[in-house]
Amino acid sequence: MRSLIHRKLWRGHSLWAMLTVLVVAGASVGSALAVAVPSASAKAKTSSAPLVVWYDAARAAFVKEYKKTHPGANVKWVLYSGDANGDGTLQSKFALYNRVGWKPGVAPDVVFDEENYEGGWLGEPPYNDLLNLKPYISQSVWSKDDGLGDCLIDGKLVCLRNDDAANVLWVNTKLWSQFFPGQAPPTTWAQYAADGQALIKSHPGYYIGEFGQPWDAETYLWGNECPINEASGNQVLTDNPSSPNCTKIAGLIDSALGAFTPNGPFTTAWVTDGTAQKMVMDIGAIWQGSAIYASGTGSNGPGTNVMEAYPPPVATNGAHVTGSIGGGLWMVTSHTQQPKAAAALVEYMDTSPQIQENPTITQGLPAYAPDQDKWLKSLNGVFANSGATEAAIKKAAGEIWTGWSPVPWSVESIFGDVATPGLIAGGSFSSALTALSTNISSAAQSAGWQVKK
Amino acid sequence: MSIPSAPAVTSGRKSAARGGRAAGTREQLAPGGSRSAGYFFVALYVLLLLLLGVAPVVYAVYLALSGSGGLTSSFTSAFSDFRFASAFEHILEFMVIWLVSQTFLVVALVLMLHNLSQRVGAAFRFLFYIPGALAGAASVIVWLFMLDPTASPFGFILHWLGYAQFDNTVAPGNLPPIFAIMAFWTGAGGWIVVMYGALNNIPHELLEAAQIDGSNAFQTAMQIKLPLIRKWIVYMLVLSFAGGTQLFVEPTVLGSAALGVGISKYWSPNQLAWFIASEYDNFNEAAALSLVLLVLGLMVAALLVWRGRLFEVE
Amino acid sequence: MRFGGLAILLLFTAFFFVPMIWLFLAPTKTDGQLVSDSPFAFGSLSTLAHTFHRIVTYDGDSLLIWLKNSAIYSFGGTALAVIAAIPAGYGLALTQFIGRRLLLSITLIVMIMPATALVLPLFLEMNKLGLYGTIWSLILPFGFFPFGVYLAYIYFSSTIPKDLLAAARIDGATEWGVFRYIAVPLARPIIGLVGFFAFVASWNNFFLPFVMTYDNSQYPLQVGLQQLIGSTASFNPANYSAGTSIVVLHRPDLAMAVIIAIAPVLIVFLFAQRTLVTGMLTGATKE
Repeated sequence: MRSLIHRKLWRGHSLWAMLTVLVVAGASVGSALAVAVPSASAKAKTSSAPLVVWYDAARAAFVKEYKKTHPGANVKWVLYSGDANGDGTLQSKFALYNRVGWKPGVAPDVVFDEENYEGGWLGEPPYNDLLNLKPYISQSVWSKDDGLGDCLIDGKLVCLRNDDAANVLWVNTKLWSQFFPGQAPPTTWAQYAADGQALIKSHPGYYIGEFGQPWDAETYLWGNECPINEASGNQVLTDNPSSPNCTKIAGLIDSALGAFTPNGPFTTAWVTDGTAQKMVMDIGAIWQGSAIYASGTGSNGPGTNVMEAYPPPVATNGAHVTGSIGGGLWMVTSHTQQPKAAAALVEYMDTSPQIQENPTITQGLPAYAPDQDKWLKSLNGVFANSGATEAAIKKAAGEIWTGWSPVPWSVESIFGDVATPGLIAGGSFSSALTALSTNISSAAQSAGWQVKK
Repeated sequence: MSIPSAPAVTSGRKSAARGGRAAGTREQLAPGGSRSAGYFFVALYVLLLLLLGVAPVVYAVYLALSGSGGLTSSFTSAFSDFRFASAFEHILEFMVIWLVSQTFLVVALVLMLHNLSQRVGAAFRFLFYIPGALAGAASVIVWLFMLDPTASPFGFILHWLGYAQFDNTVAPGNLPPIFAIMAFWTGAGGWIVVMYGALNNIPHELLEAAQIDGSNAFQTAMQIKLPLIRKWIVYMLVLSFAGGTQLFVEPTVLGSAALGVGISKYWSPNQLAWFIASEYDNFNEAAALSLVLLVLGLMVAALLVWRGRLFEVE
Repeated sequence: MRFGGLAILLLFTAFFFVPMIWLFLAPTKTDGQLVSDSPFAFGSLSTLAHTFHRIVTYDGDSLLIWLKNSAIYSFGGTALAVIAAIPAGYGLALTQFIGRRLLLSITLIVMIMPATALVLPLFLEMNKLGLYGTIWSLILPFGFFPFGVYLAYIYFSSTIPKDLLAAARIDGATEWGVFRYIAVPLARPIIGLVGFFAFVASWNNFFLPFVMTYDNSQYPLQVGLQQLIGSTASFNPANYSAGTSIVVLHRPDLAMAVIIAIAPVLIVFLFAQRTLVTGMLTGATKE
């Protein structure tokens, strides 16, 4: 038996003859196919191409409302993942479109993005795919959006902020008055940690927060002005994990680590282990209040009239600031041929009272300040001490630290990738901080950024 | 993983006869018909081969060599990426676990099945084979639940291993074995069917003779059956290796469902290539990475094919 | 020994089959039951009906569109694969031409070559040809199936006696006539086999359509499934912030989508198992 490959594979004369045939055949097919091209792309170039809007599942009610109020609008609605958890759908599709061209009526004009750091990413090189909205949306409108730090990049306005996802201190009033009778919930991180230490002794198995979730950095580090993810302009990143703004908070969390649960609100254990009922406090985004803690099912949280929002603890350096988890951005691509119409749609989605003030359409606090009061009123009867809760939310909404800049990498992904495993395995938050910082620096350098310690 | 199928092996007799000829082409002209007919029959396939097999490879080579910093710049920057080493470590660990356990288990299972009655064996084979219908995203979604100690039918095993929740199960160190389990789950059944068929082709007289000689079931399996399915084992290794280096959909889908916990978007080399292409818009470096994978896959395949004398095409 | 062997087999049966049982039970339960009830508990038929309705009508008729897309890409690719592979296998096995061995060798190499490594250059090539975003950017790559050529080659070279063809030629049959009236009728099993493998490979492909499609109206099911993960509450926290008025997908819905996505392949598996296995082995071990 002799294997063919094993034998003289490349027999001279037949090889050349074959190659000639192949090349000729290939060339003719190539040109035949190429002829067919112009007709396909020319068809799409008509001016009546619809406005293409990409939205995520959570924004479906927005779309419904838009259709109701804009009958006959020439819009093609495309549901996509929302770049959920930074899955990279937008980055990969944008990169592909930058190769194949942005076909009107097919490539998106408007995009909703769940990841609030991606405005900077997609608006800067190598993408440069976002339209500066300043010429199209009046400053008197956009300047009323909270949390615009994610959208104002190098003087350009590359997005509008959909909802204000500032972090507040959520307190289970029933458990609190039972475990800490006569005491007020913490107003500083030091008190917060001290309460945690007390809780470990008095009521083990109850918690003051979560750890090991990808957004830990946005909860604890962002809210303390920790400079490990600060863009200092011109593709320069400041990454200084040894700043006291970082080390102090990490030390405080480590001092009460037993009072933090690894069962985040989106794990099955949150429900099956009853963690939802054991959270005495939790630092979390505004939307988590009604969407999770007060949800009617009673399994995600303690239900209505139990949780109360308090202002986020004052940062270890004394600043009144907080972090932000999620939120979402409305963006217009720079390749759109209908910038006016696209910007108008974005403005409507972002500011319309019919949409933003209506909790059956959105459970996030509108970033657009004029819509906030009415939305907050809808919380009546949902939380304990509605008045105080609404005031605390309103205060936090304006306190998001703007130093945690939008950068072209996902801090959540990096945290989940390199810090969470260590934390879950019993490591300290301080060592998670180091791992996070190292990997943020590497990601920055790979993206062509300079890193300043 | 798609269903594996068989390497076809023509009879030894024919090859021997053919191999004896000096330059076969000319004298076979008469029985083989005219040359132009041959070209006609293979024409469409050759076109596709050129367009979709040869051209992309040539293009990848061109891309990889035309990086902005000179001929080898794409390769050097790919190799020096801080994610490069870990991606290859991941895949290496996955391959070792998967290939070793799959080879051992498939062979052991098929030898066991071959000792059962025809009907019982067929039932088992069918049950093993069914998960092959789930490939890619579908199988990952199923395993998302199988790996969650709070919802999984295998929860008791996960708890026994000390995993209380999903994040514990998908700890970074566990990912290579997890992907190996997924790959085994979808792929092993097909191989078992194929190898069982190969075993059935062993002449009965041979097995009976062994029995008369007094060898027990185990000895027969090791001394007679195993050598006869050796080719198939090599074939399984070749295809598995080539496919395994390309791991993409499993980590991608698992990552998007696990809230990004513990699994990055550049876990496997193929993911890293895609990441570099899409997030840095660097198709040159991505092509260089793809070529590294391709060459790696082909080298090992070639080695196994030649050493294992797998394809006796004439 | 015998007993131990059986126990091991049963253990592996559990490993292979339990996830399948779980999958088919999942859509009968609500999301809460899915995590709190026993994994093997049956929910109710009415829940199943609701789940089915919810996933099929989700986002208009996305799932049906993906199903249709999968069908177009897979059937188109399969048809092309068969049309190209059967004559090519025949030509390689039963005719002579210059470069035959070379072509056979290249086929073997390309067959082993992992196709995903070529996705990126293939994408750029399709774009240059103006085929990106058309069904051809998927059908053509799916139709290029060297493995099928090799199977056909083996089949023809081992089942059809050359003397038969020679006799037909002497009787005055043309080359095409010999292929059409002698080889093709004898090739039914191999046509089915090549078709099956090409179909399954195309249906289950993820990476290529992931790259080659513009948006979700072009997705096949495999890519659509990944998008559904993003729409499922437990897998994407953002969905919790959605207004109370909209349908949010939960895990049982996702399980239902998986069942729908695998159904065609599963049906082929169930009903054609015997034929397939026989076919696989004929192609493989014909003496």
